Amino acid sequence: MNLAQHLEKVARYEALMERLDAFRDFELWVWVAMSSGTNVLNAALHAAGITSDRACYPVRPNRYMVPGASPGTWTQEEGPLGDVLHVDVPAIEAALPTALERACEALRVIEDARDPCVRGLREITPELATACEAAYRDCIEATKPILEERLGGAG
Amino acid sequence: MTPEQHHEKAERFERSLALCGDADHEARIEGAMLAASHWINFVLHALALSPPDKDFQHPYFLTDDERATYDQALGSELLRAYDEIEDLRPFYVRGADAGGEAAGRRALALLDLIRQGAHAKSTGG
Repeated sequence: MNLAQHLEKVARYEALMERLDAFRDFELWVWVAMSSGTNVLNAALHAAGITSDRACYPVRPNRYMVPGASPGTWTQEEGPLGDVLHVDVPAIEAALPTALERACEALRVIEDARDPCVRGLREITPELATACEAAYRDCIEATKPILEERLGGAG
Repeated sequence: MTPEQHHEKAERFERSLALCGDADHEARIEGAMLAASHWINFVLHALALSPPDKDFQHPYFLTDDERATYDQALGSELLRAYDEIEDLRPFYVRGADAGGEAAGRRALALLDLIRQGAHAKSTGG
């Protein structure tokens, strides 16, 4: 997806995060935070020229749905790295700018809580919710300069 | 996780999903998938089709034998409904196809079907 499409999704996710309570709705909140953060990361990776923003949707690591020959048709194929599914999935071989390393670190905090709390029984505490909220904000802050530079340049 | 624990997780997701509107179609699709996975695990464990330490997660992780066994016990419509939610994800969650709001509503309808089916089967229906 392109940068604008990622940022449209982020806006929708963040509007929902305002309505969800990070503690009471933790399972959906943490999934939404992960999804929004991953979109921000993808937007920043595209803006930095590290991954491709071509029109394709990831299905599994390194497999993408790509538009077929006629409208409304799709095929699956492998290709150059486009959108990542999660931080580190698939791994990015290129060296990342310090700001994006920081964004990835922040996203790992959210990812570490996601599956154990969503699919398992790890205790959900106010402290965990607060830590994930802080990590989400850090991810946004870390990517902001890269996105603002790109958007400013485009405008 | 026990059937009761999956039941509780599914209900927590559904309470949060009630806060989503049409514009939140990505969250509806993802939340429906996650709640549905708990309903399916609820019934699989309740019927002793899978042990509490072996949870269903994505249909593509199932062996052919597991899929056939689950389809026979639960009725194939349950996992077909789950497949349909999964199939929405590349286009409307990881992608930006037109029609996201309708896809989100469809995910919730499929979740209703899965919840009702899981409850019916868990009580011998």
